[in-house]
Amino acid sequence: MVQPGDGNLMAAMATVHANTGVVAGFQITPSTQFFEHICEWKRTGFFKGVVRTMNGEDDAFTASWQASKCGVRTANSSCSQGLLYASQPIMCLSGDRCPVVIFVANRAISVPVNIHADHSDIMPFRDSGGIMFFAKNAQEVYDLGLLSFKIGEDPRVQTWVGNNYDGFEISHTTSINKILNEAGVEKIRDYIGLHYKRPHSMLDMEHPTSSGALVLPNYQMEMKYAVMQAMLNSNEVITEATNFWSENFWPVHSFIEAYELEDAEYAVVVMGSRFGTVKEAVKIARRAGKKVGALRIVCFRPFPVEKVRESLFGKKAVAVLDRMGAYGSPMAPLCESVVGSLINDDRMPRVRGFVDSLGGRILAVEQVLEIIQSLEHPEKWNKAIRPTWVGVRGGDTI
Amino acid sequence: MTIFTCLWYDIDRDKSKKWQSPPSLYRAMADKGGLKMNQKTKAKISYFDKLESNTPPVTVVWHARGNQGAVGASSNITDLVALLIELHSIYDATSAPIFGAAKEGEPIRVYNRIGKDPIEVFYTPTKLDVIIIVDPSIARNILLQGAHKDTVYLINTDKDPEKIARELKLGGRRIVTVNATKIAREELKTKRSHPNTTMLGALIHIFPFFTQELMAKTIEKTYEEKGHAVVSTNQKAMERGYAEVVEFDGRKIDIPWEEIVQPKLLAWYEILPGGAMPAVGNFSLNKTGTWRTERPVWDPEKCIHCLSCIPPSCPDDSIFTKIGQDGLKEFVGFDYDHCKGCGVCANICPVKAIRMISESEAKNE
Repeated sequence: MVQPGDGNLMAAMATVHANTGVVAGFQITPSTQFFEHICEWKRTGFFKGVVRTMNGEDDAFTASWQASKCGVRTANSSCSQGLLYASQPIMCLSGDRCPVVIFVANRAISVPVNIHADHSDIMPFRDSGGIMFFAKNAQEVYDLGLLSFKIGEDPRVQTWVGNNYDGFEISHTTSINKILNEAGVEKIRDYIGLHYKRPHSMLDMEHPTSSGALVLPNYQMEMKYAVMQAMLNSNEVITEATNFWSENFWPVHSFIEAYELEDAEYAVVVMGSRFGTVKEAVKIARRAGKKVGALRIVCFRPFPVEKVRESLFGKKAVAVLDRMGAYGSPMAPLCESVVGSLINDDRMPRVRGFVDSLGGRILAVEQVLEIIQSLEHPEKWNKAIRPTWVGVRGGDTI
Repeated sequence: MTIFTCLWYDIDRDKSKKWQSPPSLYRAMADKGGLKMNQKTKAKISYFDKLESNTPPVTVVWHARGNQGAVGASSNITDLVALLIELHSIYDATSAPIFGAAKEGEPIRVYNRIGKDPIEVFYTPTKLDVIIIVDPSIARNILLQGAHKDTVYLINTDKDPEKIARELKLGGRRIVTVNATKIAREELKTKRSHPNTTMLGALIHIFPFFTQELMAKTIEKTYEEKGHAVVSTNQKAMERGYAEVVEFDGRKIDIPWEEIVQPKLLAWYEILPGGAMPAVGNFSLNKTGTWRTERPVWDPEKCIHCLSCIPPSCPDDSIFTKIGQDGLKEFVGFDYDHCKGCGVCANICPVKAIRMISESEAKNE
């Protein structure tokens, strides 16, 4: 079924199609429309779950967390300062094994106040034990959003899933997408289960349980090891879920998306909506006879280490474009993960980190071409102690 | 055939040349038993079939002020292309709004991309093929950003197209004008004018393959929840927008193209730490009156001086009052330097002593 809509609409649509039980929301630009759609659809009867307007993001995510602990399927949405305000409950989700699905329309964090896209709001949560997808368009927000209920709730995983899409660039750009028809929705509800079945639900009256255990040093590492194991298991679960989707509906990328990478000597690694820009630059460079490819990381956590190794080993040099500033760090988060995957092997390519597109700044195709060109001269940058910033007035040269 | 040559289509086309038939798109529609199109429509939508693959998408920008409906109109274009996709999946379109901090009355831009291949890029287009100016009072360097020599302009104005072409220095360009504010006010009968659907009608003049029929269908889909009356008035406004378009060939006037100069932006080391602003209390210097598309006018005979309209009703503290003879506050007038024309006062007035008129009407008076 064709559905014109923006990222927020597709996120809300996925929430409804997954038969979500509770949405407890608090709005913040550019995530606002997610909750607006849910409230509107509650009024019209399209959304069957419970909607609660909360007092702030801390309340909203605490409500989602507790609802999930009671065995209810929950989704929520926030970004920027709101997400940081909710950091306390979000950080608890993985330890408490609550599969809340979070839609994040990534936005810069203050100061200066900026409502446009970058990844600095979600990156502080990158190692807190949640699964993180970065969508390239509204279609992927829907596909992966719907699957993340299955992935998070799988007994092998049981942790929160973040669906990230760039604020305004995806969240407010209306594009033409596909959604499941009635038969499709029935099929996917069969697959993910009509309701969330939590193994130790607090509202299971026949098997009462308590939660919120106090653990002293003798149990701490074991419980955190279980979270680590859940992230390892999620690799398998994500593969299963995306395979199910591709077989039954339409193709969806699970961990990485490669473009012209097989015979490439140089590669550009990127996440999110800028993949289209990079692809355009690669097309131009290919026409000029350069062997370049592009790699998009779809699933940032768990990081697809083996797939990245497979695709990048043997390349001459790789540029990694991060949408978050790294201050006093040798590398920004995505670059750290890429280098961490490639390290300890002789086939490791040279890696150059970039910081670009902060707060909605446009990454021009010409700038990507410059980046690609710079990869051919590693002697100019291989001693760098920090990522290069792209397009700063009075700043670095590429 | 490139997209650019097509945009000159209305002026340069060979009148005798007919669109080729049968259009494969229409066949696909008929096969699926979808939309029923009349003869004219099915001929026109075959335009897309002639485009070669790998043609860069057409880029369109809407320059308007918040609450003129440009975001809705722009996403209507995406809806329209989606209507086509339902029948024949080879096109794609996106619509991306750019907001600043404020919303209503502030200049906003919305970008459309329409193309044959899937559109995967999300950055703001730097080259624009069609510039739609819903509010020509916005500064020229903002309006004409990204223009190239084949850009087509669709302008909402009550002025003569030649006059507006001279004002904006659009020598050699193709200009299409329509008085959408007036048409919308007459057809929709809303307090504030929403010229969006009228502009969509005028846009069919530039993109013939959109066709009135498809546009009417899109408007119906968008407004059907609001009732039949809203749909039909908007459709009527769209039809009038198409019919009352004035075409102007900018090659007739001898005004040289003036390059657009953008203000110089500071380098990182020139900005104060934390973005500190060394001036304070100067917001009254910011004449937000230029944001206004419509202004409130006051009828002193009807006014009962209840002062329902002063803040907090007026968000910009733009109502002058004085102490009258009886020692009570009285309404005196509006501060047009700062009034953004939001229309809250006109809505709240219990005796309808305040009404909204368009800025151009006000100047004529």
